[in-house]
Amino acid sequence: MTEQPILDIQNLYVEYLTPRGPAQAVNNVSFSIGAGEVFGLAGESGCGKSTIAHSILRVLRPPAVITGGQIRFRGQEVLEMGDDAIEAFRWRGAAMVFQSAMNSLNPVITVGEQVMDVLETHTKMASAERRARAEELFEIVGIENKRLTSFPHQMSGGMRQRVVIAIALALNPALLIMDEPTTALDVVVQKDILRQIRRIKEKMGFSILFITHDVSLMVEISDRMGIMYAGEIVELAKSKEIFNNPIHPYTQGLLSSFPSVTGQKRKLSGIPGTPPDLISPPNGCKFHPRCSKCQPIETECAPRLTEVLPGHWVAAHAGMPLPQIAAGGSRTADQ
Amino acid sequence: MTLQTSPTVQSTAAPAGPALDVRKLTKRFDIGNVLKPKLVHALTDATFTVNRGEVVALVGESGSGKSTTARLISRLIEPTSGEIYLHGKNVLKSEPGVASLAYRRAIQMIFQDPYGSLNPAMTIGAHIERPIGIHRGGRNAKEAVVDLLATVGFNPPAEFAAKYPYQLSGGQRQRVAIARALAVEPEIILADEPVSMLDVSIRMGILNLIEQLKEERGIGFLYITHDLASARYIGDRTIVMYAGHQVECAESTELMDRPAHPYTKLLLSAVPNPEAGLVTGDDEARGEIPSLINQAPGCPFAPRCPHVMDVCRKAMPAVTQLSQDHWVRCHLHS
Amino acid sequence: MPYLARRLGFYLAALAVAITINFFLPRLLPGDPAATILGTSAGKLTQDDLQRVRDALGLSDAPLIEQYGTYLVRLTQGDFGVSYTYFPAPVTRVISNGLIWTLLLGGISLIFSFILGNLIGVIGSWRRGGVVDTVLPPLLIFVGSFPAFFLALGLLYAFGVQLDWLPISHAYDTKLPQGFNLSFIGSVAQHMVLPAGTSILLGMGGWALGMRNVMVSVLAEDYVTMAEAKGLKQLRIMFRYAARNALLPGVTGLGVAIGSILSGQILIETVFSYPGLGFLLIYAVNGRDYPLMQGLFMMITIGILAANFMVDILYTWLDPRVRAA
Repeated sequence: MTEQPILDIQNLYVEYLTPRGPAQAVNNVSFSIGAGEVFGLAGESGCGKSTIAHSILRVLRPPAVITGGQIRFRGQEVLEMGDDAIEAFRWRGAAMVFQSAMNSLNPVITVGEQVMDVLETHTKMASAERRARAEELFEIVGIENKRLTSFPHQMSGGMRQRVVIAIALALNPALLIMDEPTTALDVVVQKDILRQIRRIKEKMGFSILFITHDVSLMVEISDRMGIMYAGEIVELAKSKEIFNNPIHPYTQGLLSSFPSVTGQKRKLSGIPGTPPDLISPPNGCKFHPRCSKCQPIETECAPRLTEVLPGHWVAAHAGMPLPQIAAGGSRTADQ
Repeated sequence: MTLQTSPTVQSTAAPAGPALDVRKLTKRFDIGNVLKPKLVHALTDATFTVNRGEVVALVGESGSGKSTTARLISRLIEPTSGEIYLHGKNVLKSEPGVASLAYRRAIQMIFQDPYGSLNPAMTIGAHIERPIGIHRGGRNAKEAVVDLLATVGFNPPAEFAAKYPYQLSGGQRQRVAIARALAVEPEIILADEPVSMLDVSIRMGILNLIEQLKEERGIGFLYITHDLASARYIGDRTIVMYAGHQVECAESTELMDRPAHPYTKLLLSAVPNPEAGLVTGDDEARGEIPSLINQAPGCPFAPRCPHVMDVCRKAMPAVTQLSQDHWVRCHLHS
Repeated sequence: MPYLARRLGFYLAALAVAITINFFLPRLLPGDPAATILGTSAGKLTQDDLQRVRDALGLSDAPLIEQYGTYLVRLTQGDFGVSYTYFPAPVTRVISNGLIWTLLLGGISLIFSFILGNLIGVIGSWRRGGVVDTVLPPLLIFVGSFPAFFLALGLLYAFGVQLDWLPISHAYDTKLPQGFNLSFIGSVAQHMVLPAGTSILLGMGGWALGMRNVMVSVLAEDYVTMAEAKGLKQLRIMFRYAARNALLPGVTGLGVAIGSILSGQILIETVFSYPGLGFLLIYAVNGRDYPLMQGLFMMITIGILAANFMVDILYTWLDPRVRAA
C-alpha cells in the first residue's frame, strides 16, 4: 500500500485489571487497513480481537484499559482526541456492527429513531431529510421502509442485523468495524447478509475490519487477515495465502479445525489443550504448551512478527527454520 | 476415517434391528387460548432409526425441530403422537408417562451448554460417580470414574476427578458431560449441538472423541447440529430438517455431493467456501424460516423455494426413495 | 390494546370482590351490628335511634340479596352513610376533605422522591465509584431505615421547635381565608415542607438504590455501547438509552407506591396533625366510626387499583414489548 492507510494501529497494548492481577488482553498488536480493503482478525474467544475493535472507537469498558500504542485514523491519533473530536470521529470516521443484533438495538425505541438519532447528532439535516435518509438506508440493506416504525422485538434476527448495518452506514463511514456480525444468525441468513455487505462495500468504497472466529468464512470475505492467539497476532498475510500456505502452527491447527462439505473426508485434529490464562501466560511463545512443533527456544523467549515471505508475516525467531507443514498435511495437496 | 462399523460392534450387538426406532414422532405446543387457538408445529412425522455404532446427524437451522426431536426421545417432553421403539419395544406404550430406569440408562443425552449442565458445587469425580451408583451399584465406582475420565481424554484422570467445574475449560466440561453419559454404559447418546459453544480449536477433539466412542464402544449417536460440515465429518447418515419436517436423508457424503431437496442445496450454498470466495450473485431463495404457528398445508419450504409449483402449496410431498439410502420429500422428485 | 383490556378486566374483578367484602364485613360482626357499633351507649338509645343506625349501615331484615342491591345502588350514588365522629357530615364529604390533603402531600412527596431518587441512581451508576455513587445511596438508606414517626418527630423538633423555621402542625394557617390566593398557597407549601420532607427522605433511598442497580446492568448492554460508539451525546445515551430501559422495574414499584399514598402516610400525618386520610383513619378507629372506616377502605381499594392501572398504561407506553403480549 503506497497511499496512506485508513487505519494504522501500532504496538497496541490493552490490559484487563482483574482482582487477580492484570490480564494482557492485547499485546503489542500492529496492523493497518488500506482504503477499500477488507481486513480480518480471526481467532478464538478471548484472543483479543473484539477488544481491539472496541479500542478503535474507544468504547472499552472498565476494567479494560489501553496501556500503550497508537491508533491512527487517516494519520490522526485517535487515542489523543478530545471529547468533541472523538464524538465526531465515532460513526463518521468509523462505525461498528456489534455481534448480537438482539442486544445492540435499544428495545424501547423504534428502529427508525435509532437510525435518525445518529443523523441528528452528526448532521444538520432537517427532520424530513433525516427520514428520507433513513428510508434510503433501509432500502440499501433490503428492508421495507414501513419497518422504520417497528420496534426491535417485532423483527427477526436477520432483519435486526440489517437494521444495525443500516445504522452503521448512516454517515458513509470510511471504516466499518464488524465484530462477528453474523455469528448469532442461521447460516442461510448469514450468507445473504455477507453478500449484501460485500455488494454495498463495492458500491460505497469503505474499508472493513472484519472479526470472526470462523476462519473459512474469513478467508471467503477478507482480502488480508491476521490470526490472533492470546492477545497477539501470530500470522498476517493475504487471506488466500494464509489459507493455502499457513506457516504458524496455530494457524495450521485452526485451519484444520474446520471440516469441509466437499472432497475426501479426512481426519482433522483441531488443537489439543486450551488457550492460556492471560493473567499468567506461559513464557516465550504463548502457544508452546499446545504446539506439536515446539522448539526449546520457544519456551524461553517470545517470537517476533517477521516478514518471512513478501507480505506474509509470522511470529518467529530470527535464524530459526520456519515450522514446516508436515508432509501430506498441506491443504492444497490434499484437496 | 472409516465409515464401516468396526468389528467390535458386532460382538456387543444387541438383538437384530435398530437400537432406536422413531416413527412419525410429532409434537405440537398449544400456546394460544380459547379464543385464539395457536398451535406450534414443532415437529411433524419424524421417522428414523439409530443403530449401535452409528452416528446419525440431524441438521437444521433454528426452529427446524431438531432439538425437539432429542427432547422427545430423551422423554423430557411427551410427544403429541408417534412411537419410539427401543429394541423393538414400543416404550411410549410399555412405560407411559415416566421413562423406566432401563430406558434412561440406554439413552443418554449431552447438552449444548457445558457451563450450565454441571453442578458447580460437585467435583468432577462426584458427577460421574453418581450415575454409576444409581444405575449399576457402587462397586469399584472410584476406579470406574478414573477409567472413564481417561477414556474421554483427561490426563492424569485421577487428578481431574478431584477438580470442580469452574477449574475446567468449556471443552473439558463437555468431556466430563460425555464421561457422565458413558458412566451408565448407554446404547445411544443424544448429542444436542455438543460443540457449538466451544472454541473452534477444541471442537474437533470432541467430535473425534464421539467418533472414537462409536467405533470402540459401539455407541450410537444422534448428533444434532446446524453445521453441515461437522455432520458430514462424523455423521454416517445425515437427515436435513426444515420447519419441523424431515426433508431429506442420505449417507452424509452422498447427501452433500448430490443434494436433492432445494433446501439442502440452499444450506450447502450457505456454507463458507474459502476456495471459491464470496460469490456476490443473488439467485437463491431469500426470506427466512416461516412461523411454526398454525402452519399452512403444503411444503413448508414452498414460500422460499426457487422451483415452487402449484402442488407444493397444497400438499406435503411424500417420501421419494432416490436410491437405497437416499430419500427426499419434494414434489420435484415425486 | 388487548393487554390493557385484560388488565382492566382484572382490576374490575378485583374491585367487585372488594365491594362485596365491604358489604359483608359489618354483617359478620356478632349480634346486632348496630348495637355492637354503638357499644355501651346502645342502652341509652331508643329503638328508633338503633333503627336509624341500621338504616345508615344499610342493614335491614330484608333478604341478603336485596340488601346487597340497595348497597350497590347507594354505592353508585356515592352514599357511604353518615360519619359518627363528624356527625352529621356524610362520609363522602369527610373523605373528600381528607383526600385532597393526602393526595397533595403524598403526590408531591412521591414525585419528588421518585425523581430525585432515580436521578441519584442514574448519575451514581454513570460515574460508578464517584461521590454521588459512594456517599448518597448508603446515607439515604441509613436515613430511610429510621421509623417514620422517629424521623418525623426529629425533623419537627429540629426545624419546627428548635429553629422555629417551619410550622409544626396542620396543612395551612387556619387564620387565613381558604382560596386560590398567594398567601394561602404559600401557607400550604410552608406547612407541607416538614411532612413531605420526611416522606421524601424515607422513600428516596429505595428508588436510588433500585435504579442504580438496574442501571449498572443496563450500562453493560450492547445497545449502550453501540449508542456510545454512534457518537451520541452523553445525556442522550444516559437517558434515552440507559435510564429509559432501567426505569422499567421502577415503574412497577411506582404502582405499589401510589397505592400506598392513601394508606401509607398514617404516621406522618398523625405526627404533624395533617388532616389527610391517614389522620382520618386513626380518628375513625378511635371513634369506632364504622361508616367512615368502610368508606376509607373503599377509597383506598379504588385508589390502589386505579394507580396500578395507570402504571400499566405508563408501562405499555414505556415498554413496547408488553403491547403485543
